[in-house]
Amino acid sequence: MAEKDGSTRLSAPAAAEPEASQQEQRKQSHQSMGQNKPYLAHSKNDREREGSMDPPRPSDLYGAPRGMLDRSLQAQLGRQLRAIFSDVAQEPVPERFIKLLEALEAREKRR
Amino acid sequence: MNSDSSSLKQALLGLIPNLRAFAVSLCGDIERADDLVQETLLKAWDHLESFQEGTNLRAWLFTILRNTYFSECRRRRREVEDRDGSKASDLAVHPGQQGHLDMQDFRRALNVLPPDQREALILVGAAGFSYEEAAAISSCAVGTIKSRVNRARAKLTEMLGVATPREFGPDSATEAIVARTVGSSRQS
Repeated sequence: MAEKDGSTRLSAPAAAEPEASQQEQRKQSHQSMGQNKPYLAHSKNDREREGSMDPPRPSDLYGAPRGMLDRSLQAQLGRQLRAIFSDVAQEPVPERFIKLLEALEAREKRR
Repeated sequence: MNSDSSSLKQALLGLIPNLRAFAVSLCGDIERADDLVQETLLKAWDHLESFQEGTNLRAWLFTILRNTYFSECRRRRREVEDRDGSKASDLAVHPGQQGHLDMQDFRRALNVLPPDQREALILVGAAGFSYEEAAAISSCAVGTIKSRVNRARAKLTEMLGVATPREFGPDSATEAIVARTVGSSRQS
């Protein structure tokens, strides 16, 4: 079952192939992506999408028209969503993953 | 290969906090999240050849993680639906917390959203991906991502909106008293 070049591929079991084929389909759109974007969302676009980043003022909240309330609620939802994400993103890398990567690297070196 | 594997290790290490944040927001459970991250790292390591050099490694890892999560969801669909159902019925509004959105309520509301909407909202609203990038990660059209995000926002607003100061004022206070009175008279 040797391939043309005489080598046999050891990696790439079929189970994980969906990613690979989808990757291929997405090649185009991936290539148009910006590289090395900042990891947390505080971009200008974000602000535009979420509405004002200022905390809601009482005058906005009491007796303001419905649209305004929704906007300030949207901004609050955005902040809470980012808070859930960044709380975990700021935690140090757990020991188990450091060990895992060291094991993978060691395995690579033995090959 | 040694220097390659060393630089891959460094790159993966740097992205683990982000992967964990994505996984936790997606599945709402830190232990399950860490299992997802572990599986993602193993798959990424073994299938590095399918990564397009020069493209966004972070987006590639997020793609692997969400594919792993969603195929797991499909495997245990019944179980997940049961759990989400019970969470939905748990979601209560606490009158004492009017005026701000309680973080616990927010987490629970997020977990009640359909997974595809939750994913779109996290990718765009928290992880900082553009609609186009989020669409690539989720393998769907940009318009689909936009509509998922909109539906997720509308649903969260609906679920949590009741707990905002909009309801302050004599009317809601009266309603609360009436509700309490009715509730207690029903109990007695």
